[in-house]
Amino acid sequence: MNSSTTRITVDAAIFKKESRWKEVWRRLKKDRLAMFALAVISVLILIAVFADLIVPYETALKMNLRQKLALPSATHWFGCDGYGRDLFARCIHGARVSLTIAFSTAFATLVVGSMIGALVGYVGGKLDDLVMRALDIFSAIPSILFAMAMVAALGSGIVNICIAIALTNIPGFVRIVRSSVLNIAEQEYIEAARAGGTSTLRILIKHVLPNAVGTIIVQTTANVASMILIAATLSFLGLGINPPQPEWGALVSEGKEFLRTAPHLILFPGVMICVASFSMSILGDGLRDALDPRLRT
Amino acid sequence: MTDHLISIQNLSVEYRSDIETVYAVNNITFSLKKGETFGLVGETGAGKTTTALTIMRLLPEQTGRITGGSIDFDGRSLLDLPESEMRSIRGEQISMIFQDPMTSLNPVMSVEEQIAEAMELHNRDNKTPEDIRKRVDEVLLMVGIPPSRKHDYPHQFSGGMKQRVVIAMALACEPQLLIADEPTTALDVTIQAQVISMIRKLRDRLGTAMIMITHDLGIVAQTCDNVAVMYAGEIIEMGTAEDIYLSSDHHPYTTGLFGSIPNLRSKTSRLTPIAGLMPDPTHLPEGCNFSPRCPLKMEICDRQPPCIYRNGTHLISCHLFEGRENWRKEEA
Repeated sequence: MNSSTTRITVDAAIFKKESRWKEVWRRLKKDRLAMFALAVISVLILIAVFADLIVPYETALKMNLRQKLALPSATHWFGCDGYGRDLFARCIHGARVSLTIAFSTAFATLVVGSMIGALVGYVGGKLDDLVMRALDIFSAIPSILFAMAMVAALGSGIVNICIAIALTNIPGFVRIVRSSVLNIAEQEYIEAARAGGTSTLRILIKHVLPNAVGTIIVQTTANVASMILIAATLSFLGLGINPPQPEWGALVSEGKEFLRTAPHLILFPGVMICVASFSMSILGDGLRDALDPRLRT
Repeated sequence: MTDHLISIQNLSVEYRSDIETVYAVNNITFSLKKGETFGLVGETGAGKTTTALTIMRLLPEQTGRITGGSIDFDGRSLLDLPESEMRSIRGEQISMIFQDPMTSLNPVMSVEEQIAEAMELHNRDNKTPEDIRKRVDEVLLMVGIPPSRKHDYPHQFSGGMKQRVVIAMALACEPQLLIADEPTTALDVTIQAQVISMIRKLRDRLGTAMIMITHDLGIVAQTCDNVAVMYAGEIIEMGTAEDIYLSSDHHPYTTGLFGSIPNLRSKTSRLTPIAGLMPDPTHLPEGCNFSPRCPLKMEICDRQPPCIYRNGTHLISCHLFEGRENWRKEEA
């Protein structure tokens, strides 16, 4: 009896001190699937960061024709490709390229997209019309086609492929942030902030954006997932990455020639792409649930 | 005239869209002295909130237009000030309490941050962050919230507590004028009484002038020195609280408003509402705006808008008072 009373007061004290992000984290922890996805992503990121420590980069490039199309074994965990290069090493180092592209483009989209979205959503009027119609034109072009055209125009290379992917994704991101901002801008606390003499820029940064952060985070997580796929698609089509640099999409592309004789060549990079993209999507779903204020206790 | 803190002359406001024009406020005039409380009463849609937003210059930019009149605040003409100067007046010299405390606090900022914000923005005497924090504690105590709760977020407060926080925010900079836009409409009756008595005490202590916007005649009686009754964007009756509550001469609409209040002393089974609805503000009647609902309508009411008649401090805009004893026609 006595101890339970104490526990309740302690809980209440913890609850009171809890900030919004601790609350979100607490709810996310309850979602087992999302936590599993988070663990998978963390492992993939660690692999990408410490790729050189796991296998040296030279291993991924060293050809050994005697090992051509070797099946998975104790020495070559994922087998070897058409030139006898170790597929495990190529997948590991491919993770570095693929994830770098995915995360950096998602980040670029996040920064540019939220700035434009927040600005046009809050300021509105002619600026809004102008920007949104311009973005409509962008999104009328199929994204893969647009990215291909961009890479063709800018030339190949990781930076250019990042620019191309980011540009194709910005219109959608702007639209989402804008709609969220439109909704927030109508809330009474924004009017209250204006009545307190707050300037437009400060309202945007201190009142509007923090309220849109939930949407922005969820959308960015989903973006990473789709960008892993787009990056893989582009390099599968032979755009962006210069061989012999390993990249998941490029690995699948190289492996497709040996589809009948050595299916493991596309199986392993394919699985990597799926796992990475799928985990990001699941994490995004989990975050959305955790951030939803309607579920807030 | 010079001792007026704020004086509004012949103010008219419209909302214009492509489809129609809403005549929200039509030619209203009133003024407040320092420390005085002015009640603005009327039905939903009578233009009370529009009046408040016009004073703050917060009308929606796309549609709201001020079509005439002037607002003088402390010797300055508010309608002519550039936006940057207006911003330094908002929150520091004039602040506003909004109708719904549930939505007028930012859900992702702690109460302390929100109260401190106005003080940081209008930091004239270079207060240190330490001073500001101390002042936050002070205003929280003033509205009866323990300062230990200042790190909490709005969703951790009840409705009445939230409204106290909103009031604390509005009073943080000790404004000269406080506009309270239906501050108790969203609260239940017991909390209403608490909040009103608190607003009254703070007003007396700080000497703040106040415009109290409400449709609750009881609140007006408790708090206001002067009262204006608004109908369809016009002030149809104005005077001291005594004029409105004790005098026997009233605009038929005011009589109707009082008729709609339940009386505890007499036994009635039903309230008497005012029949009909407010006129469509996009197409106001040609004569008196109230004539379609008026039980005492005369022939002239449809043709000609009424003049204002004055008896001491009491003003009424109605044809009934033409030629009545003690009532003189005001020159327009």
